[in-house]
Amino acid sequence: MNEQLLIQKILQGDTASFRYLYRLYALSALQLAMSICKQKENAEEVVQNSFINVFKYLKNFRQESTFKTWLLRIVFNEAIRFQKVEHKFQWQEMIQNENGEESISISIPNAIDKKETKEQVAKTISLLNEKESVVLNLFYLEELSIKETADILGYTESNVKVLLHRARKNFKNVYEKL
Amino acid sequence: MNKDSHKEDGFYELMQTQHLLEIPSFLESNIMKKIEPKIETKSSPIKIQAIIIFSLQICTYVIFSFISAYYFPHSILLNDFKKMVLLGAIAHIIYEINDMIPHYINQKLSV
Repeated sequence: MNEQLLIQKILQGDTASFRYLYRLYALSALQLAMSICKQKENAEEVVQNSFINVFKYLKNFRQESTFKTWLLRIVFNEAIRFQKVEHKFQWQEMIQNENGEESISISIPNAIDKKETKEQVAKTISLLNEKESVVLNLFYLEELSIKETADILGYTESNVKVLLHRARKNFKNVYEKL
Repeated sequence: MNKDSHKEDGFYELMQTQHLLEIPSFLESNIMKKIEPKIETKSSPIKIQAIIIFSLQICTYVIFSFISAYYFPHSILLNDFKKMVLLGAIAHIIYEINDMIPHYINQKLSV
């Protein structure tokens, strides 16, 4: 169904359309929340609050970005707020300059080791800091562009490139040590 | 879709193993429970404005009936005016019911 039509229907009070929209994006939202909160229970609470906020503020969505980007920005802000309240967590805004152009590659294991690889990757991500796991999640899992990622995180595109480079570097170091 | 993430550096393939397969069902019901009362109040089929207008029309009819019965029992003009008010009230209630039915059915179906 057309996303714009869906939003219009929700604004007219159609519950079924909101349920449909939720089913469309719930996994992406939960994945992003997990990369910040790390714990599933907390991530679920963040997703719940985020979707309630989406419903509340849907009339303010001006379609300057895609709905997915807008939603993920709400999830991101809610996750940061949740972590600040629950764990006195500080999301550091500063990103130190470093060369983001150097290419980093990582070897992909055989298909036989798929389950083991999945666990190893999950463990690696859990050992990265929140910023790194968020940027990897948005770029590689959600397949968002640098610009969309920057919009969600509230960074500039060059900051995202630097962060992505650092995340790849740290991911590779941790992954190969495991 | 972002084609940059598909570069052959191995990260895309590794990260793709992390896709969640399902989301707990209680999460959906929790969200819908918190949202549905808001929707119901927003699109409530019974409109307060319509009730007030209808009450005013009925009051006017009762007042004219009283005046026509006790003070001007032979006034044709007053009698016609009284009938006109009653017809207006009936037309109004039919219009509101017609407007209410689709909302009501929609709410019943979405539960």
